[in-house]
Amino acid sequence: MKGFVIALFSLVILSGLAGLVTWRIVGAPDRSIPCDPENLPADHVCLSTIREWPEEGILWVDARPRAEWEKNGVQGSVLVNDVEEWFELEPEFMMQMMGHPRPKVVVYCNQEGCGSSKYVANQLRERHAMALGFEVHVLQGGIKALLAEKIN
Amino acid sequence: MNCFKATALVFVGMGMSLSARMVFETKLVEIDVKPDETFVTGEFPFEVTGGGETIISYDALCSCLAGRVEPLLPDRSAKLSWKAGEKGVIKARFDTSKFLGTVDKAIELKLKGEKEPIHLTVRVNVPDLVQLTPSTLKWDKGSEAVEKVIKVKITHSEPIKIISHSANNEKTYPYEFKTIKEGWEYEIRVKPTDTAQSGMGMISLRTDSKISKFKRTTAYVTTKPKLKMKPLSGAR
Repeated sequence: MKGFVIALFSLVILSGLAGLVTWRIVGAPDRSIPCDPENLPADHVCLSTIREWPEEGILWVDARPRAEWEKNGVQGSVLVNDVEEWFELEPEFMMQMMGHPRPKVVVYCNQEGCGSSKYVANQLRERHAMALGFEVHVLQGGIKALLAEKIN
Repeated sequence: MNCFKATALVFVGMGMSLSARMVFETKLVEIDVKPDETFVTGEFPFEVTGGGETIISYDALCSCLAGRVEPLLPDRSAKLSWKAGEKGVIKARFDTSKFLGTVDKAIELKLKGEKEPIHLTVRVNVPDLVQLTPSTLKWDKGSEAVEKVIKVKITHSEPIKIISHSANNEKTYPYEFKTIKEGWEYEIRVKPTDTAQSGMGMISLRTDSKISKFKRTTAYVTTKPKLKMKPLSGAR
């Protein structure tokens, strides 16, 4: 049993050393959210793709609860979520779009699977995209992708 | 030799935990919601195969959804440890009161020893009883100020009356509200006084619907320059 413990301990030490060497050679780990533009659900978009678009042509829509939007929402974003009444939040989005038309709307929520960004994107698309001439996209990875970009 | 036995035991243990599985009949349940229905429940029956399974968490990814594992334990708490061959069901109760159209919401199930969570999705189709077509009228800046029409259609089995309407920019966007068939069909005719300048406005409608989300709806009107920025083709 003693031999096993020693072997296990040695393994842990060696793994740790190997990790340190890798860190020194390769650098800090990439914490960005993986996103393959070729394998995305319909209307989803990678953050790297968004960064190729002119910033002034994008309206960011935060589909998270209000407190989270207030905490770390994208600068200039509009709150449109499925927690509050739609008819209370929609006018601010419309005022933004009509006052300063932009060809792209990017919706993000908390995490993959939360469904809020997909719902909000669908509603905005069905109700207003054709009349106002904008495209609606869902950010793959949501706020996590944006936060990971800051860390990296 | 002892060392070899212990190592072997570790690997056997790992193998057993990997072979355990919670098998679901489906991971997507679709429900057509009736107009006056607020709560619906999606059910995800499962069976445990291989070794036992332990549920770490079953969190709803939306405050509109509440998950429950059944059958409950005798003390009415959730049964989290499951043996091979046992059957159960995860129920997801969906509050649809804030939604219209098709909505996907999921329960995220985390199992001991599994790196990736399982998403159990409830897809609800909620009918829109007060439909505006289109919900936004747009004139290009400098174009002819022609009259445009928003059609209001009630798609419920019972009539819903528009009991009041108001606009926030009637000076630029005067409108005429017409009842085509009371409780079923209306028209909003808008002819801007001027399209030389950019502008915008809202026309709010109130109804006598007993369902909260259909008590109010808004149509939008705007005059704006044509977009100069060409949408990029990089988006999927």
